[in-house]
Amino acid sequence: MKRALVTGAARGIGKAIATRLGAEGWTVALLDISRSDAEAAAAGIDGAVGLGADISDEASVEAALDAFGGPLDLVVNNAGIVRFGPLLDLAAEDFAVVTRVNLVGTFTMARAAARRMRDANVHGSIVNITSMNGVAPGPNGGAYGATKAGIALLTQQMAIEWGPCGIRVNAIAPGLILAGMSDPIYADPEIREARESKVPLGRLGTADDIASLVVFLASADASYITGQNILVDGGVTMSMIANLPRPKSVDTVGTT
Amino acid sequence: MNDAVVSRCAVVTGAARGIGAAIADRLAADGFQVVRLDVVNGDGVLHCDVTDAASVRQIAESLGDVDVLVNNAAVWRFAALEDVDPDDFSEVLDINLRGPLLTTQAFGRSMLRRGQGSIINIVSIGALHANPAVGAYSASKAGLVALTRQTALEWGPRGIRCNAVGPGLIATEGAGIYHDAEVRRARADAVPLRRLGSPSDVSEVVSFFASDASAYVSGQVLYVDGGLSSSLMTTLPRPPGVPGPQLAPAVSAQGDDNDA
Repeated sequence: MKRALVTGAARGIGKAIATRLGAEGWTVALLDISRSDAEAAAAGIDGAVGLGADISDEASVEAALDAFGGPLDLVVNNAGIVRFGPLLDLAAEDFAVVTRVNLVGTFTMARAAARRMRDANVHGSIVNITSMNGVAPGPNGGAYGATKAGIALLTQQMAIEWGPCGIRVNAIAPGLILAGMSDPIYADPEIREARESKVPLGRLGTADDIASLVVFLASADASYITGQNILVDGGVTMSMIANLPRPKSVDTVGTT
Repeated sequence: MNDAVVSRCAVVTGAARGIGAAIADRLAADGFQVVRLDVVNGDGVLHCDVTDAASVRQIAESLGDVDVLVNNAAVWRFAALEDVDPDDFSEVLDINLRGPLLTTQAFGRSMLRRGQGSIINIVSIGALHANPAVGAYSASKAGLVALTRQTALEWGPRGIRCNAVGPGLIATEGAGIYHDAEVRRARADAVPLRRLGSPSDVSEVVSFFASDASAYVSGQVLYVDGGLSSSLMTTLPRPPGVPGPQLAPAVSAQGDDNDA
């Protein structure tokens, strides 16, 4: 049975990814900063275990991987945080904490996993969760977008350095997703509707939309894909110009 | 992916050989009824010139509802830029870019009527990276990326997804460049996964975009290149003493799957 570890898996998108992998027959470790939350989430998945670790702390990561044991075929670096604030006023500490968790944490976990894959000669894969905000900055998003763009570049670097070991590394950039850290945004039905209307596919994404791509990237069907950052966004990130006001003479062209 | 697949129809252009044939075979294995179009004769291939609007429209009208369209047909004409024959340039654009527009319009009609469908355009890493002496080829593929986004934007609200798959170095039988063993080895070594791609590497990704597993993915280009498009710096000479790209020693032969 193939073995996967998902970080930030106690809730939201991470939990959905872990649940989906479990349903696809993977043995899954759900890792979170809170061990009890991870264990509670793992309780609902056949054969899954919950682990507690600070992904930015090497010793903590090593201990968690030791606890899971055995070969590792897939790691999903999903854990991430955001601290909002206008750049002019943002506390330096907020910038540093977000960078430490999102960027340093992804690196620390990915490297620890890749070393184990290399040593065991496992042709595994790593999936890093980025964000549409790593492509299109969100105002007042603090360090969040920069860390996600950083993870996307790091994904490419891992792909070229670890490809010769048979390890593939890709990233998934969620768009407007009705889950996890975005949930509170869509509690307001007006905002939700306004945002849905801007997505070419006409809806918000779901955590399962992300999980589907994780399953694909981890599968043999994706065996020649590495170093890619794939948006799962219903087309919203490429729609900027469509969102701009247009003169009345053309604003009905192309609508049904 | 979980749909009843009894009568779902997929149309593949340039399906007589190479990547197009692999795509058609994979979609057939996925349960699609596959219509194979090409200007080249082949087993079960329906003759279709994608530059001939009337012919494309006629074929579309003769088919029932279409669920998936794969625009794979393409050509190239090599020449140094200063020597490019303007007629060759037009012909390449005609087949590689105007062709997909015509097929998208014709086969998209039943998709628009039913409010569902997935269109997959086969582009190239050439859309991203300049390639010496390829004439209009790279420009046509970059144009097809833009057409992919245009289709995703305009038809997304009407239930149709459109994505692109960008093959890297793919060893098809027709790719004469890989008949030279030395070139073949040198090129494979430049790829982080240390091998050339196969037509099935591409068809597997097309299968993903054709399925409901990609239901929220639209307007994207997925490069299937073994990491080559991230590799610019590893292709440049490095000063002695600077650690090179080979930090991790290549291990046992790479298979076609990652779950050895």
